[in-house]
Amino acid sequence: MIYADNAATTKISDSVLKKMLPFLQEQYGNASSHYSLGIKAKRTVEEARQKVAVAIGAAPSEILFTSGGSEGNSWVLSSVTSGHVITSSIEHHSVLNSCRSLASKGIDVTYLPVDSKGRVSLDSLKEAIRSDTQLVSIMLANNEIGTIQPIAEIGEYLRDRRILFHTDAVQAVGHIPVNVKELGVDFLTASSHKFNGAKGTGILYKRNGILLPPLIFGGTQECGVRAGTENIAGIVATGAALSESINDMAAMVEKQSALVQTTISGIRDKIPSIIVNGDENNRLPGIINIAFDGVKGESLMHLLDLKGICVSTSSACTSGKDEPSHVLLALGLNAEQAKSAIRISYGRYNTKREVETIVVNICDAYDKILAAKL
Amino acid sequence: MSVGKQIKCAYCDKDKLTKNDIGLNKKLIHQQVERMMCLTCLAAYFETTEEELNEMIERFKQQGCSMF
Repeated sequence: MIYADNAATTKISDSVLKKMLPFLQEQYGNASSHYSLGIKAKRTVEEARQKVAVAIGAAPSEILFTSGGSEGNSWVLSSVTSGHVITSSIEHHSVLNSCRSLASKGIDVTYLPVDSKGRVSLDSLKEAIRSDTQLVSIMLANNEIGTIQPIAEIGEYLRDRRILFHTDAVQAVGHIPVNVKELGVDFLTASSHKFNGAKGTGILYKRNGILLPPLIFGGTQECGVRAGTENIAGIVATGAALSESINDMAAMVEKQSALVQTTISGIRDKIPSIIVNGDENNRLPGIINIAFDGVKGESLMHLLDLKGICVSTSSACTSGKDEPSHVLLALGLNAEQAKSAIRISYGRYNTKREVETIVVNICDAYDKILAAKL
Repeated sequence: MSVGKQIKCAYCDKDKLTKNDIGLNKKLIHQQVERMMCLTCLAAYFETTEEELNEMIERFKQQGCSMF
């Protein structure tokens, strides 16, 4: 199998797995227990919190462990109880659906447009701000096209305006340098399984001094705002995986950027009509989104699956109706173009040989579909 | 393609393509595909096996796809 859908999830790295396994059996203590097994578990959680804090330029007291990105995003958005919220039209559904929930409670939501590369403009944000704007939520990097948003620029603008700023950094953390102070954000969400950590564990950065209502009531875990026995193994994996990602980041960026260039040039040689969606000069190193003229992305995905290659399309249908990606439509693509796209996302374990196989199989599948259509 | 019309395989002339055959042609080639293939010809064309295509059909059914 060739796995090229690392934006969906990643494999736990060998060293991370080795570090988390003892906490599933030998060291299964509850971090709230006051004997040595529990105290050791508590210490382990705090060590992981320290690692995460260092990785994103925060203080340990500003890190909350969650179950994943969707939880963090929903938690922050649902804390708004009145006024106005600003987000972008290409956010993850955990943000967009949270906004719909807010709207159903009478809170106004403005969805900022993006340009053809998927970038939000500071000017459009400035125009959207109102006297009752409570929160701005803009993703750091898009999960479908990889475009990186001008978060630091927005953060700087919002800094003195008493408007809270949240960024969904699920796709970015562990892949590009992320520093919460430089970005000027009050909240940041991340997810462990996107950077070779464990599924079911996420990170919510909450700037010290900012109040966030409790998500789960119960004990005093996570500063009393998210009660429940900690997922120690997942938290250990998160700290270890993030440290590993930071240490290897320069090499990974270089490697994945090269794999992406090989993919684009290889496909373009055979199929010159492809369109690479997103911002070629300002995107995550491992993600490419390619639209193919006259062919459905879903067909390509299924044919690649038959060859043991995993890529994704955001327009896959499960009910006979295939809806185009809201992200690609927001870039200005028409429905047919949006449905023709696939996302290839490389990660830590992809090789040049795998990329060559992917290119050959995509071109072959494309030719076969076109020939069969005639 | 009208409802109730019997569709033949455009490659081997096999009669009466099933709903699953037609659904898979639409999934793997195009929604508006005119010249459809039977499962045997589809497998040969895409260099796979009928067994794999049948597994794929089952997955689509489990996902609730109305084309199957």
